[in-house]
Amino acid sequence: MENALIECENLYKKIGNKTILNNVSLQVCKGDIVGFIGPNGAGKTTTIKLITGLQKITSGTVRINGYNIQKEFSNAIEKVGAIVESPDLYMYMSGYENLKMIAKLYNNVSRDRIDEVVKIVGLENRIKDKVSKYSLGMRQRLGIAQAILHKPNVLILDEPNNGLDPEGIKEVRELLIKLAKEENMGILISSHNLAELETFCNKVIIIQNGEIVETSTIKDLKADISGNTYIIETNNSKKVIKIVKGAEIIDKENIRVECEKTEIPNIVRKLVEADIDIYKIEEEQISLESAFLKKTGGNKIG
Amino acid sequence: MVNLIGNEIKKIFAKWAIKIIILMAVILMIIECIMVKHEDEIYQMAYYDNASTIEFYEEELKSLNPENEEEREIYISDKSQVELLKLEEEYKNEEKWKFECITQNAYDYIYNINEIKYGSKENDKELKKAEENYNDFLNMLESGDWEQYTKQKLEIAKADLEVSQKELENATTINKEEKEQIVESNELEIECLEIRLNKKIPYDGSYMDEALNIYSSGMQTVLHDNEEIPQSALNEVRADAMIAKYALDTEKDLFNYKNASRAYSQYMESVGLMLLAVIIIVVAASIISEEFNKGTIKQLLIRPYKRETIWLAKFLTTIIVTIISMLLISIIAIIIFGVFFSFEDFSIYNVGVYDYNSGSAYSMNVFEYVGIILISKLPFLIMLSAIAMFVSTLTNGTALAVAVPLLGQIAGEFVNSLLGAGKKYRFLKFFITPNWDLSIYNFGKPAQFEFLNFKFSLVIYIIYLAALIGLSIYRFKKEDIKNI
Repeated sequence: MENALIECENLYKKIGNKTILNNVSLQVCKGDIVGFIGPNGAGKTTTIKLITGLQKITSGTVRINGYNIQKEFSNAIEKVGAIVESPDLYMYMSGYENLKMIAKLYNNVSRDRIDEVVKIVGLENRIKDKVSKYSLGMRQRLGIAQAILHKPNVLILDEPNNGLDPEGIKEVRELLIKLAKEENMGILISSHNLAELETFCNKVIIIQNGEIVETSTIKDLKADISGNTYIIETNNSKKVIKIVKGAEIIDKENIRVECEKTEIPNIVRKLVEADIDIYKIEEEQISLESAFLKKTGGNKIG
Repeated sequence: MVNLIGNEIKKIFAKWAIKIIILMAVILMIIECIMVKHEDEIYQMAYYDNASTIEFYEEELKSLNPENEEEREIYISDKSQVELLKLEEEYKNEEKWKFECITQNAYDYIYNINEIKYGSKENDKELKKAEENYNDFLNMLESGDWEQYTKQKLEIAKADLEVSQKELENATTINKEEKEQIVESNELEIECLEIRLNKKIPYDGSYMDEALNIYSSGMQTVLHDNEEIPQSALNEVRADAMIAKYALDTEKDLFNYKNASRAYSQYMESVGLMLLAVIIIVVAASIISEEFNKGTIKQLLIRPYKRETIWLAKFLTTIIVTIISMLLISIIAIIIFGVFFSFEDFSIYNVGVYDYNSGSAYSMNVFEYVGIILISKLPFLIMLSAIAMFVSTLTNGTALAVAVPLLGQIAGEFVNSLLGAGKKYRFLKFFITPNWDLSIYNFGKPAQFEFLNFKFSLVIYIIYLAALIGLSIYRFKKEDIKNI
């Protein structure tokens, strides 16, 4: 795809005899916010480390902005901002000093840009304090500031919501949506908080045991799993299950039924004939979390 | 690269470690000031203890019998020692030169008398002569005429020379060398006495007196070139003697110990260099491993710089930090010693230097001297850094990286003594420790061992440095940043 910012093709990572990543391919395009989901030890952080060049690739290629990370490291990494595992900060220095040091490593970061970024992440009041005095949430924000300081077009965030309060999570979410839209960034974000990702990711990649098991848009993923399940609200659940085969009772008025869409009119007709009052028929809304659990076969997340 | 180095320096000076070491440097400077200022009292303390020493000897004398041939010699020397100490006590508060004179000369007079008195063949005539000599010596002390005393000594020395020259003429080939040595030794004594008379140097512990003593005893040691003293030590003694001779010729005060200049150079050469070694080892050992352990290395490695550039920037940083610390400690030392003594001292008191190439001594300004010493020690410090960084890159551990260069210094001493032990261990000359401190070749000084020289050491040094840097970078480039 021409808009691809990150392109991973057939990545393998082996340490000794152990295969950590098995044929991982993924893409992040301009304006994408891609959720990278998987249980612990599935290979999320390893994938991120291969993309950012922190670990050597056993086989396969990573391209960022068209540059090969192994052969053209400097060019490839130039426009990447990342938090890997957790924000890595010098605790004995102030937040501002931390940013200033990162700024010095690029030619295009001015003092104004530092102030701007500090404002974006909302740390104006505490930026001169030593990082050791920061809360975990403040450190996350400073980590994001470090990552976006040099105006990258690729942002890779490993568990950015860790330690943030609900208000903070909301702020980060809005910030990321803004960056994706206005700066046309591609964002790859791994997180445990699936409910969080659901509300603002447009794509999701599911990884398990070092293999990608699903790559799709959130909409497709949900449709894929929830497409054939309907909830029927009537005045008498018990009567309904005698008429509709395979239905299950949720409560006194609601039943769940799995069937093709074309079957629905038949069911309605039968219920009407049986003199049952139908209040509502709707497709079941499934959360990303349930979808994920179904996909990965009930593997626990978190 | 420059920006990377700037950041690294900022990180190091933001931490406490280096500040504390520099604070320790300052405390040690003040201690040095006090020590130098009270040097006399520290020596005096040894004299104050004379009373108990006398008691000890007298107790021992009681148990010794001079009639017994086996115990005679000990008896005589103990007895002489007691009498010397008593004489010293007597003159403790008199003019300084008298005290010096006693410590230097009185023992021989006293010993002579006792040797005849308690010796096997008692001889009244000789005893009388010995006692006369001793009385002359005491009279000389009382009259305060040191010149008279020196002239007497000169006459005796000249007479001795005549005797020894005659003996040399009649010498057989077997003892010729020995006799030659005696003649040279006599000639040297005459030379020293004549210098004392010509330059009018009393036995007063002044700088001229000090220089004369160093020259005389140094050259005597060199002349009696016995096999026990290693050649390298003899070289140093000769160098000191030549510096002393230069001081005598030019009448420059090179042996004054209580001044800012001397305290400064002494401090920088010993304590200062030790602290700098500690600084470079601690910085080099932690500059990589600490970032690995805290995870901050990731933020550095995902920036558009090659890994070799990052490693080299860190290595150069250890050197730059050491040079900054060097200047800092040096400047603080100049201020503290200048305030404690006098800033004028730095221009008044120069440092004597012996040039082994030309075989001549000269003096230089203390700043120039300390500058040469510090710069010539840099390669050694850089090697310590390379070793610490190599270990730290390999293991990502700080403790081991501190320990290895320190243990290396101890290993260096073992290697040196093995090198002296024989040809079997000659291969150890290719080890790094005999070659890592290029400052041993300062002023053209020959190495401790004849099979080492500056060029050889420089080649070995460069090979080791290149290998350590190369291997470290190779490892650093391959390093997978492990998941926490």
